[in-house]
Amino acid sequence: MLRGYLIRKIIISFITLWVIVTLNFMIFRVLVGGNPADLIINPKMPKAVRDALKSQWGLDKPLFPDQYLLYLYNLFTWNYGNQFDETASPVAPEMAWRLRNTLILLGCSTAGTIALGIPIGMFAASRRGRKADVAVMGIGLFTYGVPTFFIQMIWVTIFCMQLGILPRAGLTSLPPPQNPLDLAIDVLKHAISPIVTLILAGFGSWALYTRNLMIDALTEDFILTARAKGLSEKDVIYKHAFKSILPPIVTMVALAIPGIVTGAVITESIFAWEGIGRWYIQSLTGANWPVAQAVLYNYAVLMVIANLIADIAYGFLDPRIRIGVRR
Amino acid sequence: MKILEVKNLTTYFETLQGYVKAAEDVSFTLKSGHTLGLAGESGCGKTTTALTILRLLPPNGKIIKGKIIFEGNDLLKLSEEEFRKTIRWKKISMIFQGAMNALHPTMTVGEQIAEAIMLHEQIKKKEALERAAKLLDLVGVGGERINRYPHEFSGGMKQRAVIAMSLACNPKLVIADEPTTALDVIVQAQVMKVMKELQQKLNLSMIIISHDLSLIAETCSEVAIMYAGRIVELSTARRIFKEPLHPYTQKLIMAFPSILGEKKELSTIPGFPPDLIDPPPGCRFHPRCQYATEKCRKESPLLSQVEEAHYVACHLFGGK
Amino acid sequence: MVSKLYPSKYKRQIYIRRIKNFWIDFSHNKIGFVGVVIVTFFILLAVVGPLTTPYKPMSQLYRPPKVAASYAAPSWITIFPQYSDYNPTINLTRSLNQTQLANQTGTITAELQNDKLIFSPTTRGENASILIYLGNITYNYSPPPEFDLTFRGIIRFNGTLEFKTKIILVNYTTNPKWEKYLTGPNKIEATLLTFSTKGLTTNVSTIKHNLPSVPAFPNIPEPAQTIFSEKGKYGVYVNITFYSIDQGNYAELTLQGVGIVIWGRVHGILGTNFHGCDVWTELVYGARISLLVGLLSAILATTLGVIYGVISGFLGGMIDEFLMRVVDVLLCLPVLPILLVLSRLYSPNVYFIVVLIAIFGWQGLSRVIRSRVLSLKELAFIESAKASGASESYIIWRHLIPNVIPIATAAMILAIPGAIITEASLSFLGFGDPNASTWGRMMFWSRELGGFSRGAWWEWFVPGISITLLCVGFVFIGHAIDEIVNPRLRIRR
Repeated sequence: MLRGYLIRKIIISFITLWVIVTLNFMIFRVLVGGNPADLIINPKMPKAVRDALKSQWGLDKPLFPDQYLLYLYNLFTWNYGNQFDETASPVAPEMAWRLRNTLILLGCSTAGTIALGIPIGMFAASRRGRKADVAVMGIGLFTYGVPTFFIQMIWVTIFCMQLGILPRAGLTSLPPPQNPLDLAIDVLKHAISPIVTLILAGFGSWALYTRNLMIDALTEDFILTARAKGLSEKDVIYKHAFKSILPPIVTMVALAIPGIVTGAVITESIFAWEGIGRWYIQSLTGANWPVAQAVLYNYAVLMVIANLIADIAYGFLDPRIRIGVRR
Repeated sequence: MKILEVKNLTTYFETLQGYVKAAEDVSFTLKSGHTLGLAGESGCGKTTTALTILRLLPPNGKIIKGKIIFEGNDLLKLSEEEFRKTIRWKKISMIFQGAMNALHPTMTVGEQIAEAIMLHEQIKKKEALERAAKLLDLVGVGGERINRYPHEFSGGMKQRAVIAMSLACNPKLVIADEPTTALDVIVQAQVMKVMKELQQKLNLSMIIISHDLSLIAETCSEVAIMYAGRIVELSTARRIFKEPLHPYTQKLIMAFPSILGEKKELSTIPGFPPDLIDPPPGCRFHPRCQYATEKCRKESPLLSQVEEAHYVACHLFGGK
Repeated sequence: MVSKLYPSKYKRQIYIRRIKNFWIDFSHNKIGFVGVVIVTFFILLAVVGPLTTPYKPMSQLYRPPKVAASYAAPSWITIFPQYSDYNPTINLTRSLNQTQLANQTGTITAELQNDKLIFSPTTRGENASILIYLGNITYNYSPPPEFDLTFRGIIRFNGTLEFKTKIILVNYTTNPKWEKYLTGPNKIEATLLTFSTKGLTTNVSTIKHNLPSVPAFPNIPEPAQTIFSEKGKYGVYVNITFYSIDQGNYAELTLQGVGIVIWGRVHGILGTNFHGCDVWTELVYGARISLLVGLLSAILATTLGVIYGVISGFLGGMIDEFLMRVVDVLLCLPVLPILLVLSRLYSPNVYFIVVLIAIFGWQGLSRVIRSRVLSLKELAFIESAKASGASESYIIWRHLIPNVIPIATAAMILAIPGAIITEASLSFLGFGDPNASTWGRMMFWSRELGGFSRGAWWEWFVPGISITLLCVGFVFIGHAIDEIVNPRLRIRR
């Protein structure tokens, strides 16, 4: 049962990836008006060079299947082409370290949000109807409505501009310190603002959703049974109720992934954090198309992987899927 | 020997529209080893009474007055902590309505039963699981299934597993709330057979709640008929079925067609059960009773003895 | 399922009773009430707001309508002592008939009611000049950030001539800073406009001059702070001199507006932005777009989700599987990056964005609707409807969709803040409709053009808090509806 489930999910992931890649291809080569070649080969280069590159990128051949297959091949060999800026450097190496920065940001903030939001939500559910619950509900609803970038601008105004205790932007100070320990601390200091603001903006909806799931679970019959058996209220909540909502929480993680990605793009812009989000914005503003395409592809891959991990976790957590039925 | 004595138990639920008077002045006694049946229509207060005994009411349920004397002690006087540790499941356990959902979906059946045991006894998990396996054997589900999850059981198996769980700590009193309602007739028979055997073997006292009179007739030694939150008749099973005195009881028994008797039109009770937020004054049954008098509309009759071990709450029989 | 058993009259009564019950529950719900209050406020703001401001938003005009200095603070901060002497906008611009003629030499005729000055010399090389008194400025504030000189006029001429106009400021109290630049006792002056026909080929011409801002007083560094560094009274004069170069010349100057505008350091309810335009106006017009985008996207997305979910659930089987897989794939797409690239490659028009947001917003709802339809299908009434000959569309429209409406409504209300924030995010990054002054765009400009760094909180904080409150309002309403519709969350009090 589990095996079948996993195989199905992996196949769907590949199909999803293929759809996204094809969409990417369609957007940048087919649906764009004007000359699609301008999105692949820098139009500022001299004509002779451009013509020479045309055959390399397969632009002289028909769209399907030739260009398409070449495109797929390039993607899977991490050949994203060269940038359109003055350096004309290859995209892939830069993508590597920027991706790492983005993953650090996303990883820490997501972990923090979950670590903060879920316990608060459970606490609120246990104090249902009382002040703590209303407060958590209020905060949760509020942070659901407040735009992340607004919180970040307020944060910057208070901590970076007025109080001056945190750096305003960037990955490191300029110039970055040489000593690896100092460098690590420096990066850490710069990471505080984006990560903390992301957590602040995000934990509310997690708490709210957890609280609702818990209240739902607490109305189930098996909770009444647990209480009848003599379990303390604490055990009822943490052992029985919480265990039963683990699968939906994992689903919530999967649904929250697009929001996390979105938040990262804006956060990186505000804090000039050198990740792929910021690079993406810069590339779109500066018509550096190879970078834009590459980042879009990477975002899609990230999301597919994250969803797959969530699906796998769900499969393990829900015994109806993990074990199926043995008769 | 009396094991349970309930006196004037009154439970209300608070709602935005007012108090729902779910159980009013409920009184009955249960002797050790006997089975009491609580019968009546849906919403007449049977489950509320059961939940009150185990103190499992939802947050808006309030016990207004009454005594629940179990083995000589008033349960309502115990603190929550004491009650939870000494009474719940250890002395009194419950089989809930709709066993399908009474089991935790992501824990194995064995674990759930073992959990109940470990809560009340100092025992290692391994031993507890062994006992759980034995219990499953006892109910006919099979001890080898302790590592299965509830979704792998059929309806009847789940019900029997819940029965096994209720016996985990060797309680003195088991309350079974509609134990067979969701099951088909054949499985129903199996389950009731199991319960009867267990009761004899373990000398259990039981309270069986049901709206199915035939079930009650087969299994209970005493029967209490409830209507609109009150007990209207209380007697031995034989007397209730052979000589029902309260008009409601009479109608209830007549409504049950006999498979052997002559074919005739089904008799019903006219009208609808009353709204418990604003029940009718006086006797709560009077709007539907063909014998209702002026007194019935004003005064609520008390449950009083009519003959040996037969109590009725009706002005036709005194009602004082 | 009430719907199938009772005739229409009872059905209507039952629906009315259901809605009434819902309304009773809803009005008890404090959170929902607060939400409704907030949302109503913003709807009023969007609808009635434009009436509260005499200005038009920047997006509607070709040239930004400047009303005060760049990043002027809100005028109510003058309540606080440290800001009490911040100057408002002082505008001393007059057309000819609003002025007094002070001095006149040469052959100039003034037709005041037509704002006209007519120069008709008889000899070559003849000059004429006129001094016009505009008025006084009583300036009791700290030095202003900017000021501009204006000259709006039409000159019609015949022949070769020159004319020159100067603005003269007189200080009635002495100002030591003026020392270096005096051209007379307490007088400084600057050239407004010099006009010469030398080099023009035509004889008779009409030329319009409209200069709202001129780097006048070029010899004075930081003219605004230096000239108005002292509180006091200032007189404003304009001198116009004509020079005739040939014989038989003729010049007619229609003076529509000339003078000086001291741009305010404070202005209005919410100050000004980089261009000096009123922020309250931008906010009010931005409210319209935010509400519009939110509502349209949510309605569109909900409709799509309901249709998709109902069809998928109703048809069941392989089609259902396939349709749900499609939804799975779509849920894996990175929404914001795609929105960004699409709005960059194609047009960032507001309606296009509404459609895009809707396209990425319906998937979640379709899943929920589909599972509800599946559980409804289990109920016998669908079988009975089919058995009594109901067509598929009948079942869908009369049975399934009405049962799905409560969930869809709650979902739609909750989708609105999502859409608003998505649009705001797009604009905030600079990718939205550049012609639409949405709240997100205001915050974008605040960062881009320096307002944020300069502490001009009114330009970014107010739109930000507006987005927050509007979204929170909808979220509160949605939460209240959810609590009522979802029986498990109800509190039995």
